[in-house]
Amino acid sequence: MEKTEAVVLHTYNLTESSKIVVLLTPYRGKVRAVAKGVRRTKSKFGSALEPITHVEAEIYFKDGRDLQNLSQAETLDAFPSIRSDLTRLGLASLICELMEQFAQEDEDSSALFALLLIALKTLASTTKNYASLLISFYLRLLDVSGLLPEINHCVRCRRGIEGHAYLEASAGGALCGGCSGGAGEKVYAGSLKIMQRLLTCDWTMLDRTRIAQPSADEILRALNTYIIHHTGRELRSARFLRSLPKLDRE
Amino acid sequence: MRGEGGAITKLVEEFRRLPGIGPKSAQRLAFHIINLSKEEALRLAQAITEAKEKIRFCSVCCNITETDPCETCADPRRDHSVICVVEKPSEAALIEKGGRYRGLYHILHGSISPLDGIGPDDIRLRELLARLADKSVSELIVATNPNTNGEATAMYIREVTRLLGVRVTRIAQGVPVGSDLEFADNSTLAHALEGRREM
Repeated sequence: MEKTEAVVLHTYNLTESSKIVVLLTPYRGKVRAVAKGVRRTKSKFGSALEPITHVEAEIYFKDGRDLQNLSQAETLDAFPSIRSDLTRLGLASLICELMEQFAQEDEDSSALFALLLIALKTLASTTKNYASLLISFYLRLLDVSGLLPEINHCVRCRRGIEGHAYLEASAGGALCGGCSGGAGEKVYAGSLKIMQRLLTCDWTMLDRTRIAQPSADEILRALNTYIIHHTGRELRSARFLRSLPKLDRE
Repeated sequence: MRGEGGAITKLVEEFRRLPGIGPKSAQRLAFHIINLSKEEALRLAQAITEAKEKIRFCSVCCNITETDPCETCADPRRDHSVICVVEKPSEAALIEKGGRYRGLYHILHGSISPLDGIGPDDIRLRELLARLADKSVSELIVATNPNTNGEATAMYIREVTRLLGVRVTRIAQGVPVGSDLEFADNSTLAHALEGRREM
Protein backbone atom coordinates (compact mmCIF):
# COMPACT_ATOMS: atom_id res chain seq x y z
CA MET A 1 0.00 0.00 0.00
CA GLU A 2 1.42 3.40 -0.99
CA LYS A 3 0.24 6.83 0.00
CA THR A 4 0.89 9.34 -2.77
CA GLU A 5 -0.05 12.79 -3.89
CA ALA A 6 -1.87 12.77 -7.22
CA VAL A 7 -4.04 14.75 -9.59
CA VAL A 8 -7.12 13.06 -11.05
CA LEU A 9 -6.84 13.45 -14.83
CA HIS A 10 -9.82 11.46 -16.05
CA THR A 11 -12.37 8.94 -14.80
CA TYR A 12 -14.45 6.26 -16.50
CA ASN A 13 -17.43 4.42 -15.08
CA LEU A 14 -16.61 0.74 -14.69
CA THR A 15 -19.61 -0.82 -12.99
CA GLU A 16 -22.69 0.60 -11.31
CA SER A 17 -20.62 1.43 -8.25
CA SER A 18 -16.97 1.55 -9.41
CA LYS A 19 -14.83 3.85 -11.47
CA ILE A 20 -11.51 3.64 -13.26
CA VAL A 21 -9.44 6.64 -12.26
CA VAL A 22 -6.47 7.96 -14.25
CA LEU A 23 -4.06 9.79 -11.96
CA LEU A 24 -0.79 11.63 -12.39
CA THR A 25 1.57 10.91 -9.51
CA PRO A 26 5.02 12.45 -9.01
CA TYR A 27 7.00 9.21 -8.70
CA ARG A 28 4.88 6.53 -10.38
CA GLY A 29 3.88 8.62 -13.39
CA LYS A 30 0.46 7.94 -14.86
CA VAL A 31 -1.51 5.42 -12.81
CA ARG A 32 -4.76 3.73 -13.78
CA ALA A 33 -6.62 2.40 -10.77
CA VAL A 34 -9.99 0.93 -9.88
CA ALA A 35 -11.90 2.73 -7.12
CA LYS A 36 -14.60 0.44 -5.84
CA GLY A 37 -17.91 1.74 -4.52
CA VAL A 38 -17.17 5.41 -5.24
CA ARG A 39 -20.22 5.94 -7.43
CA ARG A 40 -22.53 5.17 -4.52
CA THR A 41 -24.19 8.16 -2.84
CA LYS A 42 -22.76 7.19 0.52
CA SER A 43 -19.17 6.78 -0.71
CA LYS A 44 -16.74 8.40 1.72
CA PHE A 45 -14.30 9.60 -0.93
CA GLY A 46 -16.22 9.66 -4.22
CA SER A 47 -16.04 13.44 -4.46
CA ALA A 48 -12.23 13.34 -4.26
CA LEU A 49 -12.11 11.29 -7.43
CA GLU A 50 -13.60 13.83 -9.79
CA PRO A 51 -11.34 14.96 -12.67
CA ILE A 52 -9.15 18.00 -11.94
CA THR A 53 -8.78 17.31 -8.21
CA HIS A 54 -5.52 17.32 -6.27
CA VAL A 55 -5.68 14.42 -3.83
CA GLU A 56 -3.72 12.24 -1.46
CA ALA A 57 -4.47 8.70 -2.50
CA GLU A 58 -3.78 5.27 -1.06
CA ILE A 59 -3.02 2.83 -3.83
CA TYR A 60 -2.24 -0.84 -3.66
CA PHE A 61 0.41 -1.30 -6.38
CA LYS A 62 1.20 -4.65 -7.89
CA ASP A 63 3.85 -4.88 -10.63
CA GLY A 64 2.69 -5.99 -14.03
CA ARG A 65 -0.92 -5.20 -13.31
CA ASP A 66 -2.61 -2.88 -15.76
CA LEU A 67 -5.13 -1.60 -13.22
CA GLN A 68 -4.07 -0.86 -9.64
CA ASN A 69 -6.43 -0.72 -6.65
CA LEU A 70 -7.25 2.62 -5.05
CA SER A 71 -8.54 2.23 -1.52
CA GLN A 72 -8.69 5.77 -0.18
CA ALA A 73 -8.46 9.37 -1.37
CA GLU A 74 -8.60 12.69 0.39
CA THR A 75 -9.08 16.01 -1.38
CA LEU A 76 -6.18 18.45 -1.07
CA ASP A 77 -7.58 20.96 -3.57
CA ALA A 78 -10.78 20.61 -5.63
CA PHE A 79 -10.12 23.91 -7.49
CA PRO A 80 -13.66 25.26 -6.93
CA SER A 81 -13.00 28.40 -8.98
CA ILE A 82 -12.14 26.22 -12.00
CA ARG A 83 -15.36 24.23 -11.60
CA SER A 84 -17.51 27.32 -11.38
CA ASP A 85 -16.47 28.74 -14.74
CA LEU A 86 -16.96 26.96 -18.09
CA THR A 87 -13.95 28.52 -19.83
CA ARG A 88 -11.62 27.69 -16.94
CA LEU A 89 -13.09 24.19 -16.75
CA GLY A 90 -12.49 23.71 -20.50
CA LEU A 91 -8.89 24.92 -20.15
CA ALA A 92 -8.23 22.73 -17.10
CA SER A 93 -9.66 19.76 -19.02
CA LEU A 94 -7.30 20.52 -21.90
CA ILE A 95 -4.35 20.67 -19.48
CA CYS A 96 -5.33 17.31 -17.90
CA GLU A 97 -5.94 15.71 -21.30
CA LEU A 98 -2.46 16.76 -22.48
CA MET A 99 -0.93 15.38 -19.27
CA GLU A 100 -2.71 12.08 -19.84
CA GLN A 101 -1.24 11.93 -23.33
CA PHE A 102 2.30 12.93 -22.38
CA ALA A 103 2.79 11.13 -19.05
CA GLN A 104 4.07 7.57 -19.05
CA GLU A 105 3.30 4.81 -16.58
CA ASP A 106 5.88 3.61 -14.06
CA GLU A 107 8.36 6.43 -14.35
CA ASP A 108 9.41 9.44 -12.33
CA SER A 109 7.16 12.29 -13.41
CA SER A 110 7.95 14.84 -10.74
CA ALA A 111 8.63 17.60 -13.29
CA LEU A 112 5.34 16.93 -15.11
CA PHE A 113 3.47 16.74 -11.80
CA ALA A 114 4.92 20.07 -10.63
CA LEU A 115 4.01 21.64 -13.99
CA LEU A 116 0.44 20.32 -13.80
CA LEU A 117 -0.06 21.57 -10.29
CA ILE A 118 1.27 25.06 -10.90
CA ALA A 119 -0.72 25.36 -14.15
CA LEU A 120 -3.96 24.41 -12.35
CA LYS A 121 -3.25 26.66 -9.37
CA THR A 122 -2.47 29.59 -11.70
CA LEU A 123 -5.60 28.92 -13.74
CA ALA A 124 -7.68 28.79 -10.55
CA SER A 125 -6.59 32.29 -9.63
CA THR A 126 -6.64 33.79 -13.14
CA THR A 127 -9.59 35.71 -14.47
CA LYS A 128 -8.18 36.97 -17.76
CA ASN A 129 -5.50 36.45 -20.43
CA TYR A 130 -6.09 32.72 -20.57
CA ALA A 131 -4.24 32.46 -23.90
CA SER A 132 -0.93 33.43 -22.23
CA LEU A 133 -1.40 30.71 -19.62
CA LEU A 134 -2.26 28.07 -22.19
CA ILE A 135 0.66 28.93 -24.51
CA SER A 136 3.05 28.96 -21.57
CA PHE A 137 1.74 25.56 -20.43
CA TYR A 138 2.06 24.06 -23.95
CA LEU A 139 5.67 25.23 -24.26
CA ARG A 140 6.72 24.09 -20.78
CA LEU A 141 5.04 20.71 -21.33
CA LEU A 142 6.98 20.26 -24.58
CA ASP A 143 10.14 21.39 -22.78
CA VAL A 144 9.76 18.91 -19.89
CA SER A 145 8.99 16.15 -22.41
CA GLY A 146 12.10 16.94 -24.47
CA LEU A 147 10.04 18.03 -27.48
CA LEU A 148 10.41 21.81 -27.27
CA PRO A 149 10.51 23.26 -30.80
CA GLU A 150 13.47 25.45 -31.76
CA ILE A 151 11.98 28.94 -31.76
CA ASN A 152 15.07 31.14 -31.52
CA HIS A 153 16.27 30.72 -35.11
CA CYS A 154 15.67 28.64 -38.24
CA VAL A 155 16.20 25.02 -37.28
CA ARG A 156 17.77 24.27 -40.71
CA CYS A 157 19.98 27.23 -41.73
CA ARG A 158 20.44 28.52 -38.12
CA ARG A 159 19.83 32.10 -39.25
CA GLY A 160 17.67 34.50 -37.28
CA ILE A 161 14.03 34.77 -38.35
CA GLU A 162 12.62 37.94 -39.83
CA GLY A 163 9.13 38.52 -41.12
CA HIS A 164 7.53 35.16 -40.66
CA ALA A 165 8.49 31.54 -40.07
CA TYR A 166 6.85 28.12 -40.34
CA LEU A 167 6.58 25.88 -37.29
CA GLU A 168 7.20 22.39 -38.62
CA ALA A 169 6.95 19.45 -36.22
CA SER A 170 8.93 16.99 -38.34
CA ALA A 171 11.83 19.50 -38.54
CA GLY A 172 11.67 20.09 -34.77
CA GLY A 173 10.99 23.81 -34.82
CA ALA A 174 10.67 27.01 -36.83
CA LEU A 175 11.86 27.18 -40.42
CA CYS A 176 12.55 30.44 -42.21
CA GLY A 177 10.68 31.22 -45.44
CA GLY A 178 13.64 30.08 -47.57
CA CYS A 179 14.01 26.70 -45.84
CA SER A 180 10.38 25.74 -45.31
CA GLY A 181 9.19 25.26 -48.88
CA GLY A 182 5.71 26.20 -47.61
CA ALA A 183 5.44 23.32 -45.08
CA GLY A 184 4.39 23.94 -41.48
CA GLU A 185 2.18 26.44 -39.65
CA LYS A 186 2.87 30.07 -40.48
CA VAL A 187 3.84 32.23 -37.49
CA TYR A 188 5.16 35.75 -37.44
CA ALA A 189 8.59 36.47 -35.97
CA GLY A 190 6.80 38.57 -33.33
CA SER A 191 4.81 35.49 -32.27
CA LEU A 192 8.04 33.51 -31.85
CA LYS A 193 9.32 36.28 -29.55
CA ILE A 194 6.10 36.03 -27.51
CA MET A 195 6.63 32.26 -27.25
CA GLN A 196 10.22 32.72 -26.05
CA ARG A 197 8.98 35.09 -23.35
CA LEU A 198 6.10 32.85 -22.24
CA LEU A 199 8.38 29.82 -21.94
CA THR A 200 10.45 31.39 -19.20
CA CYS A 201 8.34 34.09 -17.58
CA ASP A 202 7.11 33.77 -14.03
CA TRP A 203 3.71 32.09 -13.62
CA THR A 204 2.48 35.04 -11.57
CA MET A 205 3.06 37.34 -14.58
CA LEU A 206 0.78 35.42 -16.94
CA ASP A 207 -2.52 37.06 -16.08
CA ARG A 208 -0.85 40.41 -16.71
CA THR A 209 0.48 39.33 -20.11
CA ARG A 210 -2.08 40.20 -22.73
CA ILE A 211 -1.49 38.89 -26.24
CA ALA A 212 -3.34 40.34 -29.22
CA GLN A 213 -6.05 37.88 -30.34
CA PRO A 214 -4.61 37.26 -33.87
CA SER A 215 -1.17 36.38 -32.39
CA ALA A 216 -2.72 34.15 -29.71
CA ASP A 217 -4.82 32.33 -32.33
CA GLU A 218 -1.79 31.91 -34.60
CA ILE A 219 0.45 30.54 -31.83
CA LEU A 220 -2.20 28.19 -30.42
CA ARG A 221 -3.01 26.83 -33.89
CA ALA A 222 0.70 26.19 -34.59
CA LEU A 223 1.29 24.56 -31.17
CA ASN A 224 -1.86 22.42 -31.47
CA THR A 225 -0.64 21.08 -34.84
CA TYR A 226 2.83 20.53 -33.36
CA ILE A 227 1.43 18.56 -30.41
CA ILE A 228 -0.98 16.50 -32.53
CA HIS A 229 2.00 15.53 -34.74
CA HIS A 230 3.68 14.04 -31.66
CA THR A 231 0.67 12.46 -29.95
CA GLY A 232 -1.24 11.47 -33.07
CA ARG A 233 -4.52 12.41 -31.37
CA GLU A 234 -6.94 15.30 -31.68
CA LEU A 235 -7.56 17.13 -28.41
CA ARG A 236 -11.16 16.53 -27.33
CA SER A 237 -11.19 19.36 -24.81
CA ALA A 238 -10.07 21.81 -27.52
CA ARG A 239 -13.21 20.83 -29.42
CA PHE A 240 -15.26 21.61 -26.32
CA LEU A 241 -13.59 25.01 -25.89
CA ARG A 242 -14.40 25.88 -29.50
CA SER A 243 -18.05 24.89 -28.94
CA LEU A 244 -18.54 27.43 -26.15
CA PRO A 245 -20.44 30.48 -27.33
CA LYS A 246 -19.16 33.92 -26.43
CA LEU A 247 -19.64 33.31 -22.72
CA ASP A 248 -16.73 34.79 -20.86
CA ARG A 249 -13.87 33.96 -23.13
CA GLU A 250 -11.00 36.38 -22.75
CA MET B 1 -16.47 -20.85 -26.35
CA ARG B 2 -14.15 -22.14 -29.07
CA GLY B 3 -15.52 -24.80 -31.35
CA GLU B 4 -19.09 -24.29 -30.28
CA GLY B 5 -20.12 -22.78 -33.56
CA GLY B 6 -22.00 -19.62 -34.38
CA ALA B 7 -25.25 -19.36 -32.40
CA ILE B 8 -24.03 -19.48 -28.80
CA THR B 9 -20.89 -17.42 -29.52
CA LYS B 10 -23.10 -14.81 -31.18
CA LEU B 11 -25.43 -14.74 -28.17
CA VAL B 12 -22.51 -14.32 -25.74
CA GLU B 13 -21.07 -11.54 -27.90
CA GLU B 14 -24.43 -9.72 -27.93
CA PHE B 15 -24.71 -9.91 -24.12
CA ARG B 16 -21.14 -8.64 -23.78
CA ARG B 17 -22.16 -5.45 -25.55
CA LEU B 18 -24.60 -4.61 -22.75
CA PRO B 19 -23.46 -2.15 -20.04
CA GLY B 20 -21.93 -3.75 -16.96
CA ILE B 21 -21.74 -7.22 -18.52
CA GLY B 22 -18.32 -8.86 -18.65
CA PRO B 23 -17.37 -12.10 -20.43
CA LYS B 24 -18.38 -14.35 -17.53
CA SER B 25 -21.79 -12.74 -16.98
CA ALA B 26 -22.39 -12.82 -20.74
CA GLN B 27 -21.69 -16.54 -20.80
CA ARG B 28 -23.94 -17.15 -17.77
CA LEU B 29 -26.82 -15.21 -19.38
CA ALA B 30 -26.36 -17.02 -22.70
CA PHE B 31 -26.55 -20.41 -21.00
CA HIS B 32 -29.58 -19.28 -19.05
CA ILE B 33 -31.32 -18.44 -22.35
CA ILE B 34 -30.33 -21.82 -23.80
CA ASN B 35 -31.90 -23.55 -20.79
CA LEU B 36 -35.20 -21.68 -21.14
CA SER B 37 -38.15 -23.34 -22.85
CA LYS B 38 -38.74 -22.22 -26.42
CA GLU B 39 -41.84 -20.23 -25.34
CA GLU B 40 -39.95 -18.38 -22.62
CA ALA B 41 -37.10 -17.52 -24.97
CA LEU B 42 -39.50 -16.29 -27.65
CA ARG B 43 -41.36 -14.18 -25.07
CA LEU B 44 -38.09 -12.44 -24.21
CA ALA B 45 -37.23 -11.93 -27.88
CA GLN B 46 -40.71 -10.56 -28.52
CA ALA B 47 -40.49 -8.18 -25.55
CA ILE B 48 -37.23 -6.77 -26.93
CA THR B 49 -38.66 -6.40 -30.45
CA GLU B 50 -41.85 -4.79 -29.16
CA ALA B 51 -39.93 -2.34 -26.99
CA LYS B 52 -37.75 -1.34 -29.92
CA GLU B 53 -40.74 -0.90 -32.21
CA LYS B 54 -43.05 0.96 -29.84
CA ILE B 55 -40.73 3.06 -27.73
CA ARG B 56 -39.61 6.41 -29.08
CA PHE B 57 -38.58 9.80 -27.74
CA CYS B 58 -41.21 12.30 -26.62
CA SER B 59 -41.04 15.28 -29.00
CA VAL B 60 -41.44 17.63 -26.01
CA CYS B 61 -39.31 16.32 -23.13
CA CYS B 62 -37.16 13.75 -25.01
CA ASN B 63 -38.11 11.03 -22.48
CA ILE B 64 -38.73 7.51 -23.72
CA THR B 65 -42.41 6.92 -24.39
CA GLU B 66 -44.94 4.87 -26.32
CA THR B 67 -47.14 7.89 -27.05
CA ASP B 68 -46.10 11.29 -28.34
CA PRO B 69 -46.26 13.53 -26.38
CA CYS B 70 -45.58 11.31 -23.39
CA GLU B 71 -48.14 10.83 -20.61
CA THR B 72 -46.40 13.35 -18.34
CA CYS B 73 -46.23 16.11 -20.97
CA ALA B 74 -49.87 15.49 -21.98
CA ASP B 75 -51.20 15.50 -18.40
CA PRO B 76 -53.15 18.79 -17.78
CA ARG B 77 -53.03 18.23 -13.99
CA ARG B 78 -49.25 18.69 -13.91
CA ASP B 79 -47.58 22.06 -13.45
CA HIS B 80 -46.48 23.00 -16.98
CA SER B 81 -44.58 26.06 -15.78
CA VAL B 82 -41.82 24.06 -14.08
CA ILE B 83 -39.31 21.82 -15.87
CA CYS B 84 -36.88 19.51 -14.09
CA VAL B 85 -33.79 18.85 -16.24
CA VAL B 86 -32.12 15.46 -15.81
CA GLU B 87 -29.41 13.55 -17.68
CA LYS B 88 -31.13 10.17 -18.12
CA PRO B 89 -34.71 8.81 -18.35
CA SER B 90 -34.02 6.61 -15.30
CA GLU B 91 -33.41 9.75 -13.21
CA ALA B 92 -36.80 11.22 -14.17
CA ALA B 93 -38.37 7.89 -13.18
CA LEU B 94 -36.60 8.07 -9.82
CA ILE B 95 -37.84 11.60 -9.09
CA GLU B 96 -41.32 10.51 -10.15
CA LYS B 97 -41.11 7.62 -7.70
CA GLY B 98 -40.37 10.12 -4.92
CA GLY B 99 -43.95 11.33 -5.46
CA ARG B 100 -43.37 15.00 -4.52
CA TYR B 101 -42.69 16.61 -7.90
CA ARG B 102 -45.66 17.67 -10.05
CA GLY B 103 -43.95 19.59 -12.85
CA LEU B 104 -42.59 18.39 -16.20
CA TYR B 105 -39.21 16.94 -17.15
CA HIS B 106 -36.57 17.42 -19.78
CA ILE B 107 -34.13 14.60 -20.51
CA LEU B 108 -30.74 15.68 -21.87
CA HIS B 109 -29.52 12.15 -22.70
CA GLY B 110 -26.04 12.92 -21.42
CA SER B 111 -24.01 15.71 -19.93
CA ILE B 112 -21.34 18.09 -21.15
CA SER B 113 -17.94 16.45 -20.76
CA PRO B 114 -14.96 18.51 -21.92
CA LEU B 115 -12.55 15.59 -21.36
CA ASP B 116 -14.61 13.33 -23.61
CA GLY B 117 -15.23 16.00 -26.24
CA ILE B 118 -18.98 16.07 -25.50
CA GLY B 119 -20.18 19.62 -25.99
CA PRO B 120 -23.58 21.34 -25.70
CA ASP B 121 -24.53 20.32 -29.24
CA ASP B 122 -24.16 16.63 -28.41
CA ILE B 123 -26.98 16.54 -25.83
CA ARG B 124 -30.65 17.59 -26.04
CA LEU B 125 -30.11 21.21 -25.03
CA ARG B 126 -31.45 22.77 -28.21
CA GLU B 127 -34.80 21.06 -27.50
CA LEU B 128 -34.79 22.51 -23.98
CA LEU B 129 -34.19 26.04 -25.24
CA ALA B 130 -37.01 25.60 -27.77
CA ARG B 131 -39.38 24.79 -24.88
CA LEU B 132 -38.48 28.08 -23.20
CA ALA B 133 -39.26 30.16 -26.28
CA ASP B 134 -42.99 30.75 -25.58
CA LYS B 135 -42.26 32.11 -22.07
CA SER B 136 -44.76 29.76 -20.39
CA VAL B 137 -42.03 28.20 -18.24
CA SER B 138 -41.22 30.09 -15.06
CA GLU B 139 -38.70 27.74 -13.42
CA LEU B 140 -36.02 25.30 -14.58
CA ILE B 141 -34.82 22.90 -11.89
CA VAL B 142 -31.40 21.65 -12.97
CA ALA B 143 -31.05 18.14 -11.55
CA THR B 144 -27.93 17.01 -13.41
CA ASN B 145 -25.50 14.89 -11.37
CA PRO B 146 -23.39 16.65 -8.74
CA ASN B 147 -20.13 15.75 -10.50
CA THR B 148 -17.79 17.68 -12.81
CA ASN B 149 -19.82 16.98 -15.97
CA GLY B 150 -23.19 17.56 -14.31
CA GLU B 151 -21.98 20.85 -12.87
CA ALA B 152 -20.56 21.93 -16.26
CA THR B 153 -23.94 21.19 -17.83
CA ALA B 154 -25.76 23.12 -15.10
CA MET B 155 -23.41 26.09 -15.58
CA TYR B 156 -23.98 26.04 -19.32
CA ILE B 157 -27.76 25.99 -18.85
CA ARG B 158 -27.52 28.92 -16.45
CA GLU B 159 -25.43 30.90 -18.98
CA VAL B 160 -27.62 30.30 -22.02
CA THR B 161 -30.87 31.00 -20.17
CA ARG B 162 -29.60 34.15 -18.43
CA LEU B 163 -31.47 36.49 -20.72
CA LEU B 164 -34.67 34.47 -21.05
CA GLY B 165 -36.29 35.61 -17.81
CA VAL B 166 -36.70 32.09 -16.44
CA ARG B 167 -35.77 31.24 -12.86
CA VAL B 168 -33.01 28.61 -12.85
CA THR B 169 -32.54 26.57 -9.68
CA ARG B 170 -30.14 23.73 -8.80
CA ILE B 171 -31.11 20.70 -6.71
CA ALA B 172 -29.64 20.77 -3.18
CA GLN B 173 -26.38 18.95 -2.50
CA GLY B 174 -25.34 17.53 0.82
CA VAL B 175 -25.56 14.69 3.28
CA PRO B 176 -27.78 11.77 2.18
CA VAL B 177 -30.82 10.96 4.32
CA GLY B 178 -30.08 8.12 6.74
CA SER B 179 -26.29 8.60 6.67
CA ASP B 180 -23.96 9.92 9.33
CA LEU B 181 -22.11 13.26 9.30
CA GLU B 182 -19.02 11.47 10.59
CA PHE B 183 -18.70 9.60 7.30
CA ALA B 184 -19.41 12.48 4.91
CA ASP B 185 -16.42 13.70 2.89
CA ASN B 186 -15.12 17.30 3.06
CA SER B 187 -16.57 18.39 -0.23
CA THR B 188 -20.07 17.07 0.50
CA LEU B 189 -20.05 18.71 3.93
CA ALA B 190 -18.93 22.02 2.43
CA HIS B 191 -21.82 21.87 -0.08
CA ALA B 192 -24.26 20.92 2.68
CA LEU B 193 -23.21 23.96 4.73
CA GLU B 194 -23.36 26.29 1.71
CA GLY B 195 -26.86 25.06 0.87
CA ARG B 196 -28.22 25.30 4.44
CA ARG B 197 -31.74 26.71 4.85
CA GLU B 198 -33.79 28.54 7.42
CA MET B 199 -35.85 26.33 9.75
